[in-house]
Amino acid sequence: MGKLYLGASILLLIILTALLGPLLSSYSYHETDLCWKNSAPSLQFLCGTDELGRDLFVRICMGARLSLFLGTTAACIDLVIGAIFGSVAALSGKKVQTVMLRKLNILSTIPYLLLATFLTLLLGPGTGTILVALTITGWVSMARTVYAQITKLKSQEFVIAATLMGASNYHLLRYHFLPHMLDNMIITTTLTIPAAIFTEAFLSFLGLGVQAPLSSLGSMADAGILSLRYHPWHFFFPAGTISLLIFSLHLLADGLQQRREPC
Amino acid sequence: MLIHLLKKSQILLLSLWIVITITFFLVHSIPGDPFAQDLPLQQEVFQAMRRHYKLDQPLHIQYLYYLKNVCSGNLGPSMRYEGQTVQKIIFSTFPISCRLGLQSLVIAIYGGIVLGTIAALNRGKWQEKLILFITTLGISMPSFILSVLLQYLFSYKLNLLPVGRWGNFEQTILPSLSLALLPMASITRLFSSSLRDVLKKDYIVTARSKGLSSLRLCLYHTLPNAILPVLTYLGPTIAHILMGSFIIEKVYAIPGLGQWFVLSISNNDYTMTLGLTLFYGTILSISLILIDLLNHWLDPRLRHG
Repeated sequence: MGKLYLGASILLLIILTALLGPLLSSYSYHETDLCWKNSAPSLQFLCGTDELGRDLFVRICMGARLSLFLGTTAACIDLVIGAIFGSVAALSGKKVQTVMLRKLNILSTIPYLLLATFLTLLLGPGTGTILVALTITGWVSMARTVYAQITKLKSQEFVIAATLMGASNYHLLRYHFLPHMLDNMIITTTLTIPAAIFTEAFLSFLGLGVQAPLSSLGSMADAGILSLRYHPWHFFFPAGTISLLIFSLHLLADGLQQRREPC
Repeated sequence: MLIHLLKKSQILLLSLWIVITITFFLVHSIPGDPFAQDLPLQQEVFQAMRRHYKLDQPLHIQYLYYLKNVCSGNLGPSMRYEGQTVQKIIFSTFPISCRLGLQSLVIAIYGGIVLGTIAALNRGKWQEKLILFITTLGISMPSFILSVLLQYLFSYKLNLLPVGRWGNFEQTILPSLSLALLPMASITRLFSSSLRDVLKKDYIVTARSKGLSSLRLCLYHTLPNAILPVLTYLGPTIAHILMGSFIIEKVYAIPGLGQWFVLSISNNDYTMTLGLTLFYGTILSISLILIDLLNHWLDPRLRHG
């Protein structure tokens, strides 16, 4: 139980800071001030400044906003596509089922890095491209979860009874499968968000992500590595924020799972 | 058994073919040309280069030509690096990534099973809580952060290990650790939860009341049953780790295979991209088949069911 609350409170703290921080600070994320470049963390600049004199705290907040936005949006898209694909695969005939499942496997055979680089070249780097890159394979785990759950439930007696009474597929989904799957779907979604944030940071780290002056946690960490020896805060603050964000979401998912299986 | 194996490899070959087809048309749809990037070439030279690599032919002819080459085991020349064939590049960089990957796999599997066992046997005590906390931290930290952190701590601050590059054993320690931590954390979590379930089963109680020694109990009854979920996880992970991580090779300046995945696409090096996809797909298929065989060997229900 402690995990759930700990995770939720860290997450809430990050969200509030990311939303309110830039409003309360007198600096903006893109304004440069070369008089103050590379300042160490102090009361004036909570996380120090970067090599162009931009306030790192505000930039980290903007990066966290972006990560949270991309993470939740990608998770919602994954949820919709995955749930539809999974339920259609589970409820259709044997042939369609085989084709759809094979499609899932093929998608996971293409090296992800290749796919992401390819998308960036084709669509140009930017927030939209990252969203496409996140969702193009992200929905697979949700589809697998939904498929496995429905296949398991399909042989249960109450479902057979409902089918015999002439329930349509829609009725089955809405009133029999969904209530049973909801827990699992929520947990998978809480795991999709950190995976998406993780991937976004990874892509930005490779330079395939959002472009300056917009800030993302991954690209800030990437830039921070260059000055690690002399200005380590350039790396450690954004890197710490990513890890803490993902950590809190994992704690949340763990807590939810424990609550469902209290044994 | 043999029939099962044949069926399985048939499906894998089919999906390899589909993947190659998709990738072929994808890479050719990227704007740009392998030879149009550096200084502009003379028109005649440019045309001659295109003719040499058969890029002036219609796409479907190129596709058939490529397939024919692949079937005879020839992945073609690299379009960017003169005098290099795709095979040469893959076989000169893969051993490096492979060695790094194998070292990490050993650390990850050994560490994961030991930590998972400790966590499962000390349910509710501080050991379990500590291990669960560390593993949650482990899966939360992206590999690029972890590898830079390790480098900063052990090389810059403590001066214990070399910063990077590839050569002697000391230089492999940090990259192997950075690569191993994430799978180790996942294996620990999977193994501890499955071991906990297995220990509650009736057949364990029976075996114990028969008076079996704990070593025998562990080797013949607990381990084979508890390891099954870990094997399923390991299938794709093995391929993924052996292919080398772009990030870790970048951070530690290791000349491995990982960087080529990004380089080949941004260079429009069609044959290299296709060769890499095919190679990755083959390694993935082999590790999936091996894991499947192992599963069959450990789980009689699969053999006779």
